[in-house]
Amino acid sequence: MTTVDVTLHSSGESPRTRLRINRLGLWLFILSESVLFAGLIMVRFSILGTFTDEELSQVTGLIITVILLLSSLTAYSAERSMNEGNEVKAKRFLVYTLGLGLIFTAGVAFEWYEALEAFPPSTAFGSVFFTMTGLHAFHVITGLVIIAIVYGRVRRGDARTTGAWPVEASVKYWHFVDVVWVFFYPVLYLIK
Amino acid sequence: MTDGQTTVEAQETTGMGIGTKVFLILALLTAIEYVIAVAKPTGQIALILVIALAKAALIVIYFMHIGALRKGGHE
Repeated sequence: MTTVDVTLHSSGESPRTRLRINRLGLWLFILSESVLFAGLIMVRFSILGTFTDEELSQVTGLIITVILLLSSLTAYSAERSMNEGNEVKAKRFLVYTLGLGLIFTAGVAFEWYEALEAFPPSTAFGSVFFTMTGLHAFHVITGLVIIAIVYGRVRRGDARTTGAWPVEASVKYWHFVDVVWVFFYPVLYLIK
Repeated sequence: MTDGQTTVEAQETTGMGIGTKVFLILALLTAIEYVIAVAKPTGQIALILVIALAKAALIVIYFMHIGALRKGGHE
């Protein structure tokens, strides 16, 4: 076995080093995903300029934005509680996050229902709107699935062996989904 | 109550306090974005994008703890 093999297969790093490696990996993943979303924002301006369809519901957009921001607060509180060793509180905040995420998804579904009439995907604005909100909604749903899995693991008591990392990772991913919407909301709804 | 318990509870209160403050600032900035979109002042797009950048920075710094990447441990 070569020196490189030994290094790659060694699990002798300290928990602190392992945590730093995990975090770096997650941030690199987030960075790579950011490029995809940034590309979509550029496509929006490239195809539509600053045009925004007047029939887009501003009220729905504002409400779901505040709901997603609120879900970031509950996700933050879940991570904080987990780090303090308060699993009961962490589970409660994870459930709140799941609930708010589901409400956000329902809001997007409602928006799509109305948008299909007002500006179907065959129109320029419709194609941009459905692509951007669709890809974001896909990430919201995957985030919800991940948080639900992590919640199940915390409930089973797995956190005693895995530590707080699964909660931290799922919450970081959730915050990333929120950051993406922080840009998508003004780009899709507010700029005219 | 022991000193340890007091410390943990104090940290907890501070932590939740920071999270709530950040959320309230994010909500306020969102409201300002909305008002700018309705009022349509000169430089509307630049203003809205600057606010969006500020909101993203708040989330990345306070909610995602990007500083912990360099320091290690929890912030």
